[in-house]
Amino acid sequence: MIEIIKVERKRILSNGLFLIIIAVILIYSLITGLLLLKNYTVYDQQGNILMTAKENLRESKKPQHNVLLNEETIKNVVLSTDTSRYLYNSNLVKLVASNYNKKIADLTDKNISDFYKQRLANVKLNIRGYPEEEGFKALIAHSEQLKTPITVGYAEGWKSLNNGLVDFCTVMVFGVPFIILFIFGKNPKVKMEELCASTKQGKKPLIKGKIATAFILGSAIYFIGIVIFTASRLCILGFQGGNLPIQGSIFYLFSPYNLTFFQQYLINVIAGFMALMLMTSLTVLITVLLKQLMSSAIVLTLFLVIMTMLPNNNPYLNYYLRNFLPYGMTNFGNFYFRPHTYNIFGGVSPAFTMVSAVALILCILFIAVAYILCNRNFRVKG
Amino acid sequence: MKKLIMFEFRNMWNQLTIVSVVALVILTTAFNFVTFINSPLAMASSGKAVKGIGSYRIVKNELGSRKGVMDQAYLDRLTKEYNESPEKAELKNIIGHCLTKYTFSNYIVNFAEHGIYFTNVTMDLDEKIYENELYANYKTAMLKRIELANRNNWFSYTDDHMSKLSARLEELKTPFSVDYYSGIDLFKWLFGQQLWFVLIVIAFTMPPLFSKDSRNGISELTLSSKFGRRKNMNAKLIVGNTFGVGVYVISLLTTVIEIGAVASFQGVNQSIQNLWHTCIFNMSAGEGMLIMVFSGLLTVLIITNLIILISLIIKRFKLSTLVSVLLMLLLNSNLFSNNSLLGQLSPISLATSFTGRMPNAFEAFYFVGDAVISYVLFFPVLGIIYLALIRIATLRQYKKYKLN
Repeated sequence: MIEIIKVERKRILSNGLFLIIIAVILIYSLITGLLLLKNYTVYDQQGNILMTAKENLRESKKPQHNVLLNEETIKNVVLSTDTSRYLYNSNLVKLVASNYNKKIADLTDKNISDFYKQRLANVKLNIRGYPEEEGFKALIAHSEQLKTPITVGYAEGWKSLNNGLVDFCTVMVFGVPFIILFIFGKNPKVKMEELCASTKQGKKPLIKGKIATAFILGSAIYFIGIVIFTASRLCILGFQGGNLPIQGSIFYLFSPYNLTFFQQYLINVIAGFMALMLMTSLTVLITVLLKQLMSSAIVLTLFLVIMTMLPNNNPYLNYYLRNFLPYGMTNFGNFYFRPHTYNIFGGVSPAFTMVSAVALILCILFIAVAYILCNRNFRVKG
Repeated sequence: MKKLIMFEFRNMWNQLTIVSVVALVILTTAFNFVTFINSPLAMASSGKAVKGIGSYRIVKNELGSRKGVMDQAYLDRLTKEYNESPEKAELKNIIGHCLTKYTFSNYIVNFAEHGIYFTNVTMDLDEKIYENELYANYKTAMLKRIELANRNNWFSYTDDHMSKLSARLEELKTPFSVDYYSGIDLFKWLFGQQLWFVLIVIAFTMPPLFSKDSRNGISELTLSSKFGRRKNMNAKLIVGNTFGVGVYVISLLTTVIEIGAVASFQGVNQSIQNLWHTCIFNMSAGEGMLIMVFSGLLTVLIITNLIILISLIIKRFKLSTLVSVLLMLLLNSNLFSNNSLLGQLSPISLATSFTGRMPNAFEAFYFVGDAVISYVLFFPVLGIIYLALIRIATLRQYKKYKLN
């Protein structure tokens, strides 16, 4: 069986093509990472450069700027003790400001001491209409368990990595299935079926080998791409900060889940992987059903186009359908900010668990159907 | 020649084309279905809110005397009825857009009054509306709206241009006739969306016809056939174009039948200004729909022939398919939707700019001398030029077609 996998791999993804894919991923990661650096340059009011990105980041990475977000720190922000425009300071100020409805200068001592209570109130406001009561309560319970005061510090590498993964995984989920098409898709001019059905190993190992190749190839490209992307992003913007809570980022201050950036990264990678597995198994099923390469390609293309064109302003549609489609699964921000929850088996499950589990079940289902169909296909008609 | 065309046509129906057409119909239906269930909130005459697929027909059936010509008598009746209606009271409790039987008439009045600040939640009417004032304000609002849309255009309208437009507006026939138009509104939106599906299907099904490595493509036999290269090529071109148009018609029919079943196409005789507020022509909404359909047809023809040309140059059908699909993605990308000059020159532009684009098809004008030429009239000329250029290039390419 291992031989079959090796042969299939060589047939579909020659070493040259593999290197090209790796090179494209590397170039994309480097270019997007370096372009991001421009955002950290600080300008004064005339448009001149006040400090370059390098200075900004170097200063902000210093360990003395990792602060506890307690009353003293907030008081310093209110009193504008530090008026520098370095990243660590602007992040802190924006974070504090986003929690309140009034200007920072107008905050009273009571406001300051109630910072985390105010945060909880904002979390409640930000929970959607769905889930129902149990979900609502579960999310509130999660958010109350946040260990306060939280540490806020430099984590730009991890923050931009998690944000960048959204686009990266979407491209992966859209692109890799087209490589998988070639495993079961046959060119109509080449009649290989009789030959394949009478091989030494027999057809069952062949089919199993092909299915295994599909998943191994898909996973390999995905994980290698993730490693390259992660390494380039973290090398450019810094490795530290993975163990800081996500509430330190202004996007996720009101997230009810108490995760660190590293845990968020792991959840994103796994969710992206499940989306890719779902697309892979769907592709295998389509190619087994249609048997021909181009017909499968057009069905896959139309499916991908429709997935992107679905409206996203209907809450029912989002909750029951769009969250489970691969295009919705790679929209990672939705897992943490205003998340959905699903009531299942008497308990409350967060969205990322539910959609990953459903993706896994569907994946197994599609592969089982594809396996049965493929066995029938290989019966050479007399 | 006819036998040749029939032969090519029979060969055209392989698994790829059949699967494409079936997938197109299924996915178009699924997409339409999602749009229907995503319908806006609607309100029946009693003030009760209704939602879902049936809501369109409920509003349509209660339309009653709201359908008609908006003259003074109509306006007097409308303001009295609306201000005493249960819908007006209930609308205060609803946030956002809501479809009622007054929507169609009130939008015209409110566009005249609020102009560029008009939104689709403005429904209130004054106690007394004067017909002359209404239409004078409407024309001013149209001009302001066109000016606003022009900010996105690649050249700015001068005051001279605006005064020419204003002169054209004097010929606008008032009063307007109004009717239910949700079906036509849905068609406006879904037409642009399903055109992309059609183009992708064409991008997949045209290349095999002209490549050297597909079963029904070009081979030594076709190049040295009795009828000669030219007749053979013409036969393939006719079949390719017919197929492209056929796919377009099938997709259009699917959408029309489904919209007709759910929301009905009542209201084809009303003034076009109900649907495109800034249209300066005296047309009915039905005629507007026909313009959309024909613009789509022209687009499909241009793209079909362009893809045929690409596959004649590349000769390998998998690579041609990839290039054609990438071309479709490029035409759909921000490059063409953000840049108005490129956007207006792109072959897909007219068909996709009837809705969701600023300036939309009826808001873009060109001024040559004293003439005011609307984009809707300019594009067919551009389209024919594109077709002629592509035809010349195709002829040259086929003469040079080599198999090795």
